[in-house]
Amino acid sequence: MAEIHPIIGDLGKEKQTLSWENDTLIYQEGTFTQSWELDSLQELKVQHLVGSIMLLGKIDDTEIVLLRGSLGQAREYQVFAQTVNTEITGKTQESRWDQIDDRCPKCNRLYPDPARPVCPRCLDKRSLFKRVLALTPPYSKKIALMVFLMISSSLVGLIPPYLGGRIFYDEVLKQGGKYSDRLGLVVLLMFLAELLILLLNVGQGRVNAKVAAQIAFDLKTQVFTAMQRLSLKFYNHQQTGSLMTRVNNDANHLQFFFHDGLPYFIVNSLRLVGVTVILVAMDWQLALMVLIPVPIIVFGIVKIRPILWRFYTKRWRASSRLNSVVNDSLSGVRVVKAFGKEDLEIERFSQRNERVFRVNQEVGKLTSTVFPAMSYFMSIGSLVIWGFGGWRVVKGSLTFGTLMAFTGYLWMLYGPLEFMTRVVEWWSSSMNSAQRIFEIIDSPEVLWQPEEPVRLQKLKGSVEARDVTFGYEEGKPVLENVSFKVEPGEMIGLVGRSGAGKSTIINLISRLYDPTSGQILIDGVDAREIDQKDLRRQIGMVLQETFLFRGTVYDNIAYARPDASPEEVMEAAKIANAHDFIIELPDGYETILGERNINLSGGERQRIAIARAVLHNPQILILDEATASIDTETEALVQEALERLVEGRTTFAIAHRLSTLRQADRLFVLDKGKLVEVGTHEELLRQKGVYHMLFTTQRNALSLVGVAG
Amino acid sequence: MSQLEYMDVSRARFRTTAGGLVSLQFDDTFYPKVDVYLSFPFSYPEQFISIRDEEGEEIGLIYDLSELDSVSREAVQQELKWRYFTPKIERITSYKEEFGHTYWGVITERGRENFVTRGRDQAIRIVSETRILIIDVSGNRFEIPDLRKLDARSRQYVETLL
Repeated sequence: MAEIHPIIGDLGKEKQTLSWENDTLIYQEGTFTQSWELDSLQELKVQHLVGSIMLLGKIDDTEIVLLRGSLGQAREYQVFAQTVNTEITGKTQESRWDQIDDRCPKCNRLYPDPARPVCPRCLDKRSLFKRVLALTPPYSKKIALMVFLMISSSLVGLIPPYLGGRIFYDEVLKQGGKYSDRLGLVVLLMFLAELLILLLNVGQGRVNAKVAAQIAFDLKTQVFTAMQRLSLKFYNHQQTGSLMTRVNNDANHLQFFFHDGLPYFIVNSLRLVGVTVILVAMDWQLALMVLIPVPIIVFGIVKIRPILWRFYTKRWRASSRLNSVVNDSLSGVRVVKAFGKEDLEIERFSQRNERVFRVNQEVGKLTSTVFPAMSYFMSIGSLVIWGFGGWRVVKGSLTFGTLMAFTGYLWMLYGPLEFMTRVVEWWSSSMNSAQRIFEIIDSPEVLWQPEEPVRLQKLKGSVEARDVTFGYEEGKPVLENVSFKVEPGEMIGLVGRSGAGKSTIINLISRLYDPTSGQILIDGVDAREIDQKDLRRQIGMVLQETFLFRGTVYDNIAYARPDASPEEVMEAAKIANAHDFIIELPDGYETILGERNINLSGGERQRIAIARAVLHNPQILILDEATASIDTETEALVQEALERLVEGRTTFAIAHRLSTLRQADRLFVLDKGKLVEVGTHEELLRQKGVYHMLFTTQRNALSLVGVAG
Repeated sequence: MSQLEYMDVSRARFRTTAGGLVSLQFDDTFYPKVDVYLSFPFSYPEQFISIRDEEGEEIGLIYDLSELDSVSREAVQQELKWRYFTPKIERITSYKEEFGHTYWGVITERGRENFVTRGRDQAIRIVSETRILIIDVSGNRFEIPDLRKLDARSRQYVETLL
């Protein structure tokens, strides 16, 4: 018997538990218990509500709520229901729900992103850092040079205050000083030191810029390569739109890490140590006085930064909301004008604009208070030096030059200090960026790949579904127990209301996804076992929205077979009824598409797509609303092209307009994820079932608007 | 002509079943389980309630909950409460942003709770100037019914996000 963890109802103040022991379902709330024997149970089901979920049980033909819980429990509920159902039916349900833990095993914290088992707290930052560094070997010489330059520059940077303070006042200006007659030499030395620092900094910056940009470039390439390899399921989890932006941001973040972060860290640490050593060496008592305010300053910075940060975020949010209004009303300008809603848009704009104005004012007030206050507190440090040091100079126990050198070094202390308070935060966020990038690079191809895939050089084209169930999301099946068998060369029309599962069937056949349970067989072989390249090569698609890449007509048609000869491409275009209009384009087959002045109509784009498919010459063909966005006149041309294309290939066609599926050998009618009717157009009409209803509603609707059904 | 199909509530009897669901007796038809949906969950929490059967077909709309007899009303109300389960936040005890995620500690009418939200746009729904909805990573909802009634510290946390 399968082991099941009890599940919890956590909506009320009191918790309830539901457990499964010895073939009995046991409900407990406080001291109250209720139980059901296996024999009385029929089925458990999880239902998602808006703010909660519930586990329903069918017991003795009545449905009851067994448990209600928060949405975070969805997976546990699902697993529980599935396991109990297995016990009820005695039939092991093959399940492929990804079993991901949603808690960090180390600290038991909930992962912030359930699809991403990464705990930001327990992230092994050190090994990540090593891996980031591992990206650098090709540039190790340059990096060594960079580090050398940085160290030199921080060391040389320590010289000027010493020269300008101690040497200048004590040895040059003072009578009887060591260099009292060599003012020129000392000034020259100071000049050289500054020049050297300048040169070192420039050199370091230049090397650095190159290396950092190179690393970011490498990372982006790696990520993009990885993204191409990933299955669609990955894109389902991640929001595709933000994905590339995120990757870009993360890569830039890492570039920043190499370009600014790392060098500053090295330079600043060296400076801090260097300055402290020099101060102590010159006069340890005075040094101690200088260092006393340091903790106070650090504390102040740590306290104030979150406040500032909060205001900056507020400002950022206000202005991005303002931008979104501008963006919205500009991209929707036709709607705005058509409805005459200019005033409303102006009103919306001014509201948000005013908010930006107010927040800006707040930020302005705050910063003009905080920053001067901060520098005031920092200057207290130099007051301490002037006071205590001055007193010692008067007393004669300290030279004036040392005092001047101290004030010089003091300011070299604060910059690095400020930076150091930020180091931890910056380090964590850089490593998090690195983590996210590596995550994409590392994420496995979600589609399972066999060790030794079955090679199918030439498909015959039979397609079979055996008891296929599939859902894009856990617990929400889109297809349920669908079975069918399609012979090579047969044309199948997929029919059903939107959301019935038509596109999903196509996604499964072309193996963009794998079924949750059940099998798809192609030529009698489980699609999962077939070499992906072989499969892709022999499945072709013509979709409603034809995506044309930027490039020539020729490139677009030859996309699947870039080595196709000009004749082959023309032949394909001819079959697709595309040759004639292509010839009339200014540069014929070499016209560049995607440029502003070349506007292809929907029908023309479609015929290019068909030509692409003809050249691709797939054994299995998928037509997804291929004629939906075309006017009636060109439709005949496209239809004719499609008929030629379909010839001899196993074809699955989705069409909203049922009349376009007349030539299909059989129609599959889907309703709410189930295959409900199969047959020819006439057979199905005679059955007077779902298809009959769909067909008559459509015919009536079309005749109403005067379109021939 | 209105296309909306309001239910003649005088013919409808909603009952909470022994199993904790809502059943509906409408004239001679008995629905052992109906689902209740709010058309405007924020603005009209007690109006325009869509009653649907197990297949998801709309049986009818209830214009206003108050039209129902008291037993029916209670049954529907209870079911709405479950469907749109949203604890009200009384106080925010802790708030920490870390790596783009926010860890909240709050006190609601159910007691102390912790949850995690991600991003800003996914996490915050500004219903009105003073009413805020917070949605955690799993989709659970928490509500601040009136921002002005929160204590200063709690309000400060939320205002960062507005």
